[in-house]
Amino acid sequence: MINQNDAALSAVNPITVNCGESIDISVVMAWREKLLEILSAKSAVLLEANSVEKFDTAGLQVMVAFIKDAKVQGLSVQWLNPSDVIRRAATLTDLTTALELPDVI
Amino acid sequence: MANILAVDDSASMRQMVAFTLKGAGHNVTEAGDGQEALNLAKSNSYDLVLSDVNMPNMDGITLTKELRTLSSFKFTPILMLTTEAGLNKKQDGKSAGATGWIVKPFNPEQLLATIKKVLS
Amino acid sequence: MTIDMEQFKTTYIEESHEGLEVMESKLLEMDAGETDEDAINSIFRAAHSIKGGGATFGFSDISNFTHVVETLLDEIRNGERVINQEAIDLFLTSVDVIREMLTAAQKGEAIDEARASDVKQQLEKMLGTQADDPATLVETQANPNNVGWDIHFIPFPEMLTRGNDVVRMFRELGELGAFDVQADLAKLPTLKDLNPEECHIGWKITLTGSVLRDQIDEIFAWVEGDCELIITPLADTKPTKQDAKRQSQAKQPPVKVTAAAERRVGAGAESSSIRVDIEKIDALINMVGELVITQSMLSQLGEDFDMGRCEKLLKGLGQLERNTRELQESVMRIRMIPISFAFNRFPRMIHDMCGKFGKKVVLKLSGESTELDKTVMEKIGDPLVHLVRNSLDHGIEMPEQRVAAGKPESGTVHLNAFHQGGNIVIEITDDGAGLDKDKIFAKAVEKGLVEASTVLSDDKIYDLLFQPGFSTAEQVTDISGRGVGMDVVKRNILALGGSVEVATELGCCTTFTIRLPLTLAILDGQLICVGDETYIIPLISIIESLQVDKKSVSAIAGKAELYKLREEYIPIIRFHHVFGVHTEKISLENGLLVVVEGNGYKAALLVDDLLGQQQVVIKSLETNFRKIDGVSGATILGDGTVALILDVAGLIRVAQSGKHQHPLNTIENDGVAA
Repeated sequence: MINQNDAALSAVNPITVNCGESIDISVVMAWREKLLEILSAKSAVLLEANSVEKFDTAGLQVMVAFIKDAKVQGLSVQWLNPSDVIRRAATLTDLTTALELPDVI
Repeated sequence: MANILAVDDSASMRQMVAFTLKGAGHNVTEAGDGQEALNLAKSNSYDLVLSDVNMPNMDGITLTKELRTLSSFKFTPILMLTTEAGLNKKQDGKSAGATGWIVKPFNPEQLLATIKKVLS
Repeated sequence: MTIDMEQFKTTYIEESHEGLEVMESKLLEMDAGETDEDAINSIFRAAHSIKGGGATFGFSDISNFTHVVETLLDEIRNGERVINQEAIDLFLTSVDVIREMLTAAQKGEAIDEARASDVKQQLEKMLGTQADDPATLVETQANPNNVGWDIHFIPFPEMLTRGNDVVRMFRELGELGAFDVQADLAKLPTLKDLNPEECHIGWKITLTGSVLRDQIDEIFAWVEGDCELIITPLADTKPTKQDAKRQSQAKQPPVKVTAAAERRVGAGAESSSIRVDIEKIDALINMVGELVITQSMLSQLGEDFDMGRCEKLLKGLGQLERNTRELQESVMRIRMIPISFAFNRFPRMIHDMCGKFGKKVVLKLSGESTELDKTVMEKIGDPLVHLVRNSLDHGIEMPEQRVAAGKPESGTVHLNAFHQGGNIVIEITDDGAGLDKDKIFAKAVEKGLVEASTVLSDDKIYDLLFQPGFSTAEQVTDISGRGVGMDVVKRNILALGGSVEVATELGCCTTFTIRLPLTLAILDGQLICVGDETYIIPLISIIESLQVDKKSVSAIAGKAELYKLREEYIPIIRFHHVFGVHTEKISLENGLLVVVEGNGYKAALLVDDLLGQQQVVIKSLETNFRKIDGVSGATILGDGTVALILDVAGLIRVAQSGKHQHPLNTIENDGVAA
């Protein structure tokens, strides 16, 4: 699908996003702004998410919307070491695929 | 563990709640009515608020409404401690912005099981 | 962890003694017939704490006794009962009894049960109840096979903002049994259009294992009213409550009874087959016969065609069009079933509720044979139940009140259905107390829904009934105190493309009128064009179309454009701005306005041109693409192009929020507050 051209794109200069500790409803407004900015940069994205401790429904939703939009624009988004909290929340809500979380090795 | 604000005008209830929660490793701040709780909330932040409904000075419903107007309490879980009969009026609590309720009487085990629902 | 309650008992007894002192002194200050609100509130709170603590710390006799005192006090507090000297005396005696009980508990002595039960009886007599009657509604818990549950769960946007979280709820569900979940992202907007504090994802869950309905209800209890929730038992799809009449109608959808009905909102568990009258099938076969004849006539005509037979060809094509339309109508008719399917449940429901309330009500049904689409029928069932229940609960007065008001002892609830234009109209009329607009307004102010200074027309006041968080029940009953509110009723009806209105006369009657499209599959639309695009406005939303008269346009503070139509100022929405379409016709001068109404708001849409009107088949945009605000679906036109069908209420909302999608927006053309 789209993945072939964005492999080339991401090779150029991926933006790395440090996800911090929280992607939850208390900070989700700021996350939306940040993710919109990233989308407008039209670059590949690496989500560094190993230390995310708080990830709730609102957090899941904003990430799903972001990844969906990035896909439409042909941008590659990759997770780097998503934390267990992220994986568990995604599994419970059937959003693992929509979030494009990598398989556990 | 979590910072919890426990609000009840009954000292015995407050003691029981605080003792139970502290026993489970939480930090508990006690308030004797809604006004006292609101004053505390303005200068502190909590992960959870447990509040009785019927209290002098400021009741639990008004407290909830007031807390929801503070930016630091916009999404904080707020549970009403209410009786079975009060459950019929739970819509008041809900529309004031409460997350849920715990039905009185409850024992320490029930209290801990319920707050687990809102503390991750 | 086990905690010894003993250590709190001393505190409880001490504070209860203090509470009793407060009760005593306030009671002694009180005058019969006058309700001193502050005093009553203090007395109530003291009793409430004594009762609650008693139950918590193991003094159930104190708790049970004080419960009756508290209930009486609550009635006085709510203005349902006047405090007389007899009540004051009895409360004072009660204070003594509670005090004796506390002292006995403190010393570990037995209480004087005879005295306590004597006073309790006097209290109950005053209350007018015989012992506790925790009458519950029909239990729908029964799921004998109990293999599991199907759960449809669609949070309303605002659900997350009160601290509830789907992830935590699902974690609890997962602890009950084997848990399989499917997310539905169809309604998730783009990141740009997303308000991230709102929830736009829905879920379908299959929970297998021996799980009680109560366990699931408990997990969802806090979000009841904040979501669409349908819980159906797996495999066992038999009705939970059956009566002979229903059984005889083989293809009845799963029966939704009372308590269950309150929860089930929106799309129900729909049965997949339908019972069709043989007449309808015969009509269909006739129609196909005629179509075959027309087809063979046309093909004969085509075999040796010359221009001389052009007129005959046109005539044949006209006949083909007629056949097609008739065929379409016949096919649609197959899905139509009489509304008696929905009405049938009410006689029993009214009977049960009358018994419960001590009210007398005669149910009148008319127009039961009026037909509507099966899907619409299934979705209107629950809102109807709620409205009928509402009429009984809040509308019809108690028999003695009715007689005092010079009305017949028995009230009447009348359900009437009829066709009007392309709609089915269902009226629920009761000859009860009517709606008191002052009371409704006061309640809305109290609930913070409107400012006390707002001036509202009568219609707008009645409309407050449908606002979230509104309930007119002075006395919260177990019938209407739970379950969905009128706001959910309205939301469900709007979701079906319908409307609900209320008309009332104080002391006389109330009528709720529901208007619904006969079918959800086809819509009468007005085609309009803007730039190169064609859009469809549902005919039902259009009030009129007009040429702009420059004199009627006014701008408020350079921000909003309004159009004066007769006595009303209607905001102008420049269609090309909202949808970001390029067009030459951007001037209001000589422009064309289509005045539309959605959800009670009017707007004037500036469009390039009006094209024809036609019936269009609705295709879902959500399942094929994603939800777009202001658009309810799409259709394929005769020439094969796709046209979007406008959701007028949504469009007005989008325009007013200024959340336009086109970068060329200028501030002058932003939305206007209605």
